[in-house]
Amino acid sequence: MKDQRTDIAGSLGPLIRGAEELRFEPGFVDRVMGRIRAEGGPPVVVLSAALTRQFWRLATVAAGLLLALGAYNLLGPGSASGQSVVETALGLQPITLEAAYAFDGSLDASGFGESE
Amino acid sequence: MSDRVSDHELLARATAGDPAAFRSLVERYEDVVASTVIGMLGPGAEADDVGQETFVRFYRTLNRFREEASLATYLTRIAMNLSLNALKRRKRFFARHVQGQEAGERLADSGPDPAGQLESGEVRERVRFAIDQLPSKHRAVVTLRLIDGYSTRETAQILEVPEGTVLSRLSRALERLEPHLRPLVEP
Repeated sequence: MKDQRTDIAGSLGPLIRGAEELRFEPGFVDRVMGRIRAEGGPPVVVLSAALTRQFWRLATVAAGLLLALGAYNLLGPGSASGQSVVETALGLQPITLEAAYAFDGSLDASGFGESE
Repeated sequence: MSDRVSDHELLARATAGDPAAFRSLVERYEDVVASTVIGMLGPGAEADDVGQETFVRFYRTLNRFREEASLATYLTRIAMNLSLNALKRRKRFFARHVQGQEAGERLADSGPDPAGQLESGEVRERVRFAIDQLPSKHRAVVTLRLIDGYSTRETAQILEVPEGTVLSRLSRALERLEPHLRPLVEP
């Protein structure tokens, strides 16, 4: 069985090569060059690399700012409010009944806030 | 003495914006790409389009080619990925199913004649039908190993799979091909 498969493997390549024309139609090179000319642009497209570099720069700065803000919220004035560390770090306001009523009072009858 | 300009030099000139150098590369590797995409998709407009797209992609990313692999291997990898995408699209629109069914009906009618008694067109149709029956992963291994002539290691590198996976996929592919192709290879 294994020998038969080896036979098949050995004869399949030549069989396909012989059976099928493994070449493109004439004029393939012209079609490629024409397509490149039509699509335009320089051969060295460095936009994606430049964008990737910019992304990492911005991502680093943004991550630094987030850490700084989180640290400020945790360690700065008003940090000892009895909230969890996550809530404090994110600067979330404590949810109280008073705050809920204050929010409710700012809505009009339609529920969309004060209209002019 | 050979006047053949090296790939390295052509690449440097093409990267610097010399279209003639890139054209020379396309001429040099046209058959390598053709072998892969036609092996995967069969001959026709779709294979031609994927072949063109292979070189257009290569042109757009010339600066990324580090010459760690040979240019033939690099282009084959692009061609293979684009061919696999084309097969997915084909499957999605059921085009392959319809073509395969028609070919299958014709082949079922013709019976298992030995290769010597078949016209070359029939042999081509039988071989294409047999390959079209393979799942795309198996077809990729058959194309690279048996048609393009890459080694198991090179095939594994191009497909980014372990060598053992290449061998097991090849074995399964041969199991599926055997009933279709045995009559064509028997003396």
